[in-house]
Amino acid sequence: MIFNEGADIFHTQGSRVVWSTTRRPVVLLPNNKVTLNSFDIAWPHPATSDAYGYSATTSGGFTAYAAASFVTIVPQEWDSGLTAVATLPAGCNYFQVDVNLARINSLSSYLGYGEPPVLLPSEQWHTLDGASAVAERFSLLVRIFRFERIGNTVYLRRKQSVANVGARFPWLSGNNPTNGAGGQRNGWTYGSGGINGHPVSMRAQAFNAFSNRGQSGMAATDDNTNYASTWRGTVIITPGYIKA
Amino acid sequence: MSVIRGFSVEGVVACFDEPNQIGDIFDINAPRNAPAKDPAANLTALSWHSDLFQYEVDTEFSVTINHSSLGVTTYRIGSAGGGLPGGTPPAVYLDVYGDVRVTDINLGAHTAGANPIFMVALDGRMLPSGHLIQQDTTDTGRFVAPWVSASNVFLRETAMSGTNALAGTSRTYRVMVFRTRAKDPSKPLFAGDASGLQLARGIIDSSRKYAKQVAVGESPYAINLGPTIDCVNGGVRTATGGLTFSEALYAGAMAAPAYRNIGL
Repeated sequence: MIFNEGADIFHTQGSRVVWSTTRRPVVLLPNNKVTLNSFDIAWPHPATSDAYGYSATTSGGFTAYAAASFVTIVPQEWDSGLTAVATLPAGCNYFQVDVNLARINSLSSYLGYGEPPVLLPSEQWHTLDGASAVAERFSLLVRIFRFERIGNTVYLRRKQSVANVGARFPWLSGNNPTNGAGGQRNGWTYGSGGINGHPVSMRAQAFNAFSNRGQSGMAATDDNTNYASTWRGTVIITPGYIKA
Repeated sequence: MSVIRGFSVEGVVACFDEPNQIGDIFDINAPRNAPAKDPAANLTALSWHSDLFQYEVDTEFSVTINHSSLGVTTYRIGSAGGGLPGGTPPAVYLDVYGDVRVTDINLGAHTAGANPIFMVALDGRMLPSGHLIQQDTTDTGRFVAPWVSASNVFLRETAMSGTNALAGTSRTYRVMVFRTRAKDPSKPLFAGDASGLQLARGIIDSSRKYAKQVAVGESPYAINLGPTIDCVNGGVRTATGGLTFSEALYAGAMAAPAYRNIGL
């Protein structure tokens, strides 16, 4: 039944209130929704450095050598800033974001885990609470995106963050691969800016007498990885209103 | 004054607070009927409108998931030198501890068809996509993100162990799937009998449930009105229903957004 009580209207079914003017339904405005097709959400390849390990062992008059270089990602914070993507009608106090996205490029494997996993299944629909999501995480890197409202404009923000948890390797003192007499030291050294880097991929190996860092036979230390990531798909932004 | 008015020519029915009493009540163009004519510009005056989507409940249920444990796996990555007579060859390697497991957990079925609007709540608060539901130690974690197919609601779980294992845990989720209902042109703007009342050509029906302002004594679900996820220093903070949940590494200061409590 439906009836008025004072200035309010109640719609009931038995003892249950279907709705009333004091218990207003949450509403969306489908005629005002914004659909973004083939929409990209991307994060850059993070800043990297390297870690270089060297070991030489002598026995029975023979010396054997082993060296390996690792690409490391260094502590960093990246914020895309705000990019305007939609305008809402004035008076809305809520907007719903539904996405159907897929990562469209391949990332390098990291350590023994293969390609970094995605926390949002590809090509499936998600209604994002708070218009926010964690997209990826591997090693100590995390990537998120969120849609933010300022006034009547909806913006996209992307963030990428790598933790600083201090030195991950027992670096040689002074980061010096040689000793005072010019001889080679066994141990780890880091590349520029890499003192707190996290290993993500083994770059190269070397097994010769000149395989320590700085010597002619050293393993390559250039970054041959690609962890940049692009997601593409459909984003639907629907304005709405929820009475307090 | 709150009114329910129907306008047969336009096929509109709405419940709203009259902004004034100017004009003919039967004329949708009259100033007093502005919320019926232009709902987007008069949202604060509206209770509902036949052109708006009211969160009509298709399916709702609670389900307890026993999230399984994840042990520690050690990966050795590196190089070993050649043979060395009478000695152990040199080697350079990393021992990487921990594992990553991605699982899609089926929470249950719905009948709302393809691409429905849905919500999943945990402890009365909507679940952000990527919410941390468990962190036993700094190097372990369990993150979940809900998603929906044409027939079921799922939870993508990403579990991570480190030098420590991730223990099993149980959580109870509330699943709500909503139906998009089109006007039925065969139905009138207003109809009713002893069994119930239908409005706006079937958009509102006594037999159905709608997400709405919560009543005193009802169990509420918090819908967040602002961003619910942040990351700083490689750690994530999620926020829902006025509370924040942070990984140990998180070094930011995101506050929980405003929210509204709803009931069904």
